[in-house]
Amino acid sequence: MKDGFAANVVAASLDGGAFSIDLNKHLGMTDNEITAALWKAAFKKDEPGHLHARRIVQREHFKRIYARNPEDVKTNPESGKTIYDALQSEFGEDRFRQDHYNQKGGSPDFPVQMRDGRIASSLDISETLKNIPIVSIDHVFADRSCFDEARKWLKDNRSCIIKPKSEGEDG
Amino acid sequence: MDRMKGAALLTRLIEELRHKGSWCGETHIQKTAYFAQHLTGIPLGYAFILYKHGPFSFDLRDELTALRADELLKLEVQRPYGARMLPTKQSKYVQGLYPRTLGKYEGRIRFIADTFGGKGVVDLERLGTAFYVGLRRKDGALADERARRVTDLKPHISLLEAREAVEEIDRIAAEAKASFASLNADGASHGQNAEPSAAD
Repeated sequence: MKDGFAANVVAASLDGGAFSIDLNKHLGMTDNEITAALWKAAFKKDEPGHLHARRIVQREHFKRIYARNPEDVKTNPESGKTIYDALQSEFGEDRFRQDHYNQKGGSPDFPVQMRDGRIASSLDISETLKNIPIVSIDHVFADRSCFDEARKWLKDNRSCIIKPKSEGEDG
Repeated sequence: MDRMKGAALLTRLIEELRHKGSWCGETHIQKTAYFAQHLTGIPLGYAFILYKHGPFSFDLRDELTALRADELLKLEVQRPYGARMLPTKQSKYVQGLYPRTLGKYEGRIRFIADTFGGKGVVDLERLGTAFYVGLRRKDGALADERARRVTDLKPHISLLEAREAVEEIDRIAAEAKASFASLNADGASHGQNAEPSAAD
């Protein structure tokens, strides 16, 4: 989550929100400049990126309020997004972040030439390859200022929130 | 289209393909999803390019993996042929959430499964490439010209095979157009996503 805040601070401290395409200016931008900008922004309210910088420097980073759960996925494969949307709607958009990633690419299925010259599927030969779990990450983070309240609300309402609406119900 | 609606359509397509005898390896799914999207207008929303063995979508490859992570599909390995996709019981639950969407496209899914379910990857590559070429020649290019283009793109396909593939896909496209009145005159889907450029 800190990476997300840091990216916001860096973007806010750069001209036009992006690194310069001038080579010398670009090479002149080091960790030192970023760290200095981070500290400056953290303690001055009118500096660009102040809120995000403060969260990093003063350890006010968001706390994880929800992580992908196989039981929830059975009810709603998009449970993370559904919970994220519901929390934003209840407590405010800026107070939550979602970190979602699904593994890209296909299965590790490729032809393997055996010692006797025959070809077999890698998945047929290797139990390990066959059983590699697919990386799927889905976390929702909450601002500390509303974390306890949001966690309680989520605990009370989670099963209702993730229950998907069928086309018959949503009109 | 909402991701879960897309998942319902895709798993239903795979289910029906298996029912019609398709092996349902990734290649089969790639090609039939291409036909489903661009021949019958099912709005799956994947971007296809012309790849090594015909139309291919990296988006669809990622989505198939994501559907496995969500336990809507699983890999079934069958010696000595490699992996095939199998919709899980969970996919039935997701399909049950979208009765209207599935009802709307059920006829098209069955058409695709009936037409392509029995075909192997070699046939699907030829037909997919012939259809891909046809979609880019909207000026009514002659079958011979399109067949030559197929062999330019895929030199391992002979001119005779390419010609047969062009004629067969023309017949299938005409049948699809007659069956599904909402298709455009060129047999392509109704503007749901533009054809990407070929990666040839």
